Amino acid sequence: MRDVAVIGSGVTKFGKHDVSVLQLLAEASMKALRDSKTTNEKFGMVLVGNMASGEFEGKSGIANALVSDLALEPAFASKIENTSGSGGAAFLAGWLSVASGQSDLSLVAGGERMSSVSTERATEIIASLTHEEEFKQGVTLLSFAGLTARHYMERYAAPREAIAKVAVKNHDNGCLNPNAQFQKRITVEQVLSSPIIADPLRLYDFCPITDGAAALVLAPLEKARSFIGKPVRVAGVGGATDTHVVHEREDLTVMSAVKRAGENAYRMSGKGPKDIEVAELHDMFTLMEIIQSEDLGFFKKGEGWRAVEDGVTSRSGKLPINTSGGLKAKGHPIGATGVAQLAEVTRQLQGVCGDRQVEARLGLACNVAGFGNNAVVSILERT
Amino acid sequence: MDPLVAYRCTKCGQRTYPRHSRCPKCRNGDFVDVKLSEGKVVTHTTLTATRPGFAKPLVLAIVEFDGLRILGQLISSEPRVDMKVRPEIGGLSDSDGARSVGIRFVPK
Repeated sequence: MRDVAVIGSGVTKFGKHDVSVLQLLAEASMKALRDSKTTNEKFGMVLVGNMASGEFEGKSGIANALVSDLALEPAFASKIENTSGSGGAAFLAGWLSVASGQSDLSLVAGGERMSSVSTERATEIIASLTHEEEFKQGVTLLSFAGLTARHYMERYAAPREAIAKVAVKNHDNGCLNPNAQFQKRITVEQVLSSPIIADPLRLYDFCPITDGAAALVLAPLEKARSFIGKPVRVAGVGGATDTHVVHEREDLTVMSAVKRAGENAYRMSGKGPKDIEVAELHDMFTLMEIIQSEDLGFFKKGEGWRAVEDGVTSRSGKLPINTSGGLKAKGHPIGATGVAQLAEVTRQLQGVCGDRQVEARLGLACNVAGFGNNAVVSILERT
Repeated sequence: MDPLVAYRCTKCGQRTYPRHSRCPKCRNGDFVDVKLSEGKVVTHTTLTATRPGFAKPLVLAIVEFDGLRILGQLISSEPRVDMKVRPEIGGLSDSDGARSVGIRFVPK
């Protein structure tokens, strides 16, 4: 297995778009091709992370459509589906394709167009990933969040305000990310007075519904400098699953898919949680960022909320989390998220994040599927 | 009213709900039905953004039956952690067309 590098990235504006997911994927891909200086190169593989192009737009086979649209034939192409972990899973597949020697240049793109249906229909599409016995009860991913939040707060006496502060921090970061869906600051008071959705969680605890795409170009590390000056090395990648049914989890406050995927990625990289200097985590809801930060070993279980309160995870803190704005402020086009997280970590390591730049040599991205069913953790290193 | 039924692995005795093709503990593929009676609420949430065809608001709870946890609708407007409930089979939604029926929990 050879070392792999990310040599370019591209991200569309996240928000509401009037174009198809294919067009969004093409836009992000073109940006990544230009960024990596590979516009005239032959690609071996094109992996596309997307959850539900069939349900949202009635289109299937979008990876093949993208290859032709970009004139990348005869590159092999495939959609990679892992619900909200599709982007991370597409990256894992892209990494494998280059590491194994199967491909000398791979394009990893992720995208979703959700505004083509009503919010109600989008919620139903997302809920369809649950077990039939959960689905028939009327669950949504938001209801699992409410169940988890009540339980976590009672067990660890976590203050409601500290949890709300995750949204405030991420909006603050989003203001400095021109591609983020939301470009306005919010306060803890606004979070805590927003409408109750799944008590004790409120509207501003949750990420929005978004259209958008992101893309990365991967090459063997030994060839990377023939393309660009600042390749970013893939130091570790790991994936794992947890129970499908949420009430079968061993501990409702632990996402062991995140824990195991993290352990796999750390092992491969030869690094540990203390070495990570910037991270993009999957804040589908505020508390979920805190839970992941614990399960990835950054903080003790039940103590992650203190780090938010103390500013440890803000841009000026010891471990900035979600400098992009996270899912909350940047937006969450389902298939795009895992790839967009990696684009942010790549750019932080390349030093091109402008006003939201932090100092980091090693970064981590954690993309979660479903309600913790599956996770992909990737560790990138500045070269 | 039928009491709630869960599934016990014939090899290791582990109880699960819902049913799996293979036991989550020992991967054996054979189960027998077991009846459950009283349970305790572990956590609950009241959902206001409900899906079409479901009660609004909708109260969901994870209930523990002697170590076995199960999620279901809780028929109470004042849910509490540690509340004692019993399971029953009842209506889960009243959408047009097929009426969905399954487990739900009622305060004891």
